[in-house]
Amino acid sequence: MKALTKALSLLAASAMIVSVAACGGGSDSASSDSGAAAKVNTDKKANDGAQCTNTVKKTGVQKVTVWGWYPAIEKVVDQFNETHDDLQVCWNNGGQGGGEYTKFQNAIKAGSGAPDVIQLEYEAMPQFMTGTQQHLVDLSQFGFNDHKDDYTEGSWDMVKLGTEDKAYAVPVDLGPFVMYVREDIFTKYNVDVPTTYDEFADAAKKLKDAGYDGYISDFPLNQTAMLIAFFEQAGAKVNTYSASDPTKVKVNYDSPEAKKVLDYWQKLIDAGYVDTTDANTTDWTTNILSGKYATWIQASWQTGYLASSSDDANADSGFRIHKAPVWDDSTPDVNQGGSAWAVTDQAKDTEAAYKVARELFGSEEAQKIGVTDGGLFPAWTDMLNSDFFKTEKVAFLGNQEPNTITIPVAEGYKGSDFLPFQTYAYDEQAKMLKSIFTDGTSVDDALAKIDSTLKNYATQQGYTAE
Amino acid sequence: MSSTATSAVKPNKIRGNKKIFTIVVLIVAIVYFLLPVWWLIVASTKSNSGLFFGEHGSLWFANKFALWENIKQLCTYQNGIYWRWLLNSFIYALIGGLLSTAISILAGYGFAKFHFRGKKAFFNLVLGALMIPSTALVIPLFLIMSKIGMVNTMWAVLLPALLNPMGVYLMRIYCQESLPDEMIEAARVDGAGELRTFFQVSLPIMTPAITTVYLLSTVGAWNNFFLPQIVLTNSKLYPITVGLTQWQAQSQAGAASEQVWNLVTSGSLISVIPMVLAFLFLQKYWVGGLTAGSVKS
Repeated sequence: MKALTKALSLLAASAMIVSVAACGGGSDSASSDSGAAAKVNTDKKANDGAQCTNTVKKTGVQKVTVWGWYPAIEKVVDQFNETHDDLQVCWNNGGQGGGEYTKFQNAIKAGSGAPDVIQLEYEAMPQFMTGTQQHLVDLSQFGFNDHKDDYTEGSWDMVKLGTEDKAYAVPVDLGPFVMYVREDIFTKYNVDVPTTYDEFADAAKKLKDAGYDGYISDFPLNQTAMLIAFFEQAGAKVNTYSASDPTKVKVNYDSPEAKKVLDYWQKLIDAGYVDTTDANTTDWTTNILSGKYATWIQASWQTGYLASSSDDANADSGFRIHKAPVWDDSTPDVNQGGSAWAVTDQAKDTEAAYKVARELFGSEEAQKIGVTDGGLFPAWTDMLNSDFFKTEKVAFLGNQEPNTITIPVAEGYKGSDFLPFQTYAYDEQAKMLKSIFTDGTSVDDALAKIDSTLKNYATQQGYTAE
Repeated sequence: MSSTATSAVKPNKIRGNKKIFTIVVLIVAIVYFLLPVWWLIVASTKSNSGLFFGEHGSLWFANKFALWENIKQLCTYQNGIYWRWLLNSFIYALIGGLLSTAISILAGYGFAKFHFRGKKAFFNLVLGALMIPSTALVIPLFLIMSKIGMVNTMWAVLLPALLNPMGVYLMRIYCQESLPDEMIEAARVDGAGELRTFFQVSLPIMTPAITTVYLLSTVGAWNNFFLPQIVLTNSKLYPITVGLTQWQAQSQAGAASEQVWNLVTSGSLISVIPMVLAFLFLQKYWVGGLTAGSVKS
């Protein structure tokens, strides 16, 4: 039996060598072979035994499986099931954002286990639509383009994924980029609320000089989509990607526009006017709710987060929503975050899945649940135009009607591109911010570095990088 | 404990200086280990805003004592799914622990007391398995299980937990050291069959080792996180670890987030209680076991 032992150790040793050797080669995630479009299935019975977290209302009806994590999603699913006789939704929570994407990737590797319909953030969609890995179904083949006007221009642009006339998901929500302002603080120190970045810098100084011991705002070093939004305001398009040419990416951090943004914040941070605490951490939550920040430039969905962390979600917090500061008259409306329902190539009955994706939030009633219970900012134009939404009062914002500010931003937004390795790019972004604001690297060097790092990474992954 | 041992060897007197040093080190150790526990107890009594703005900092209770409210919310939030998770954890830990201990006993006993072809090679295989972190096997396991349609079932979590190389190893060592061959031979000579020898002679002697292995595998199964995280999608099947992590992720996400920090903290506190109880009740078997084999009479 010594022979067996020897054989086993030999096997283990060679496995080690092979795995080390494998480090040398690149992965083939984007090899030149342009993948065929995700296939369409028509099995109506395959989901009969599916396990659901919700209680399916009607038995003996075809089921469609859904993964999603929207707040109040269970109510939306119930609403769908009550109002539909031909299809029933079987919902599970696959995890929040990244957790769900990992699960989806595993299911793709295994060839089974993915749901029919999946909630994906806009920024996460390209990673499932790379060269050989096309796992989202083009919904235009089912006539989805006829419903284009139901959604805002920006959200439609993002689900097109850079193609001419395809659509890979049904937009659900957006995050119009606005400025939360503690008006009481500005009043107390007799400073005007800024509307441009020049005024913002002045106000920062005035507040400090007047004795305000907080910061005018926070520029978190762990920001991800927020930095992209800042860049877009200044006209910097750092990422370009299209599902119609999925082996090519364009990275452009090293631009005068991006430099302008970072130089601006660096000045304010160096002067002690702006804090750099990581966002959505406990420290940060304590800071922002205790009045340590006079403003916070962010997507409008932040209200729900702040309200549920505070003492009383229905008490006036002093915050009011204003338009985000602009550089000049040409500064575009931008967006941060949001997600959509995509149909996967593992959908058992693809067309039924499309129907569910489109109709889950496709009624006034479902939209109202999303807005009222879930705090979503809808991408659905009927909702944006409704009096219900326009005049919605928010107690946490002192009964302000914030949507008079947010709706024009959402409507003006034109869309963004994200990379098929956006998570990696975000990590590099965080490293870049850290190198500038804690290690003292110059903005020029840091931007040049992230530019070349991302291009190298893209090349390693088999993309043509520009 | 054996009084003969203490009287035979006179313990060294610890001198004054050294005593103070020892006490200081011990106090530091106590603070280091108990502070997180204390924090958990305090945090579980706070509401969401109490966690962020507690009047007396994070290591003392806030003015508003919200433990009961938190527990009430645990009963209603998402239809009280928390208790379902707790039940699942019990199933995974108790049943998984029981079965894996049974397998470890049989395998360890076999390795220690029987001679068969390939014994050494097979045991080396077990030793080899000890070296592979179980996390490394999760993705391959997931792929295999999804081929046979076992993903998203309780079996996906239970089955892989049944094989516990550490348990087999411990059992074998224990049987070798503490279970004299002479005893088994005596039983055989007296006419007992193999099964009877095993159940009536060997098993009682192995009790301490069994307790140890059972505790280890139960705690392992209770704390199991990565495997269920990967193989389960239906939240009704989650163990408590995965469920609480999901709530934490949900609270942390900026967009579309629901803040349930208070449920995460109070839920965590409740989830450690069963393990504390398990250790308290089983420790008498355990301590007895570790010394039983060490003194040769």
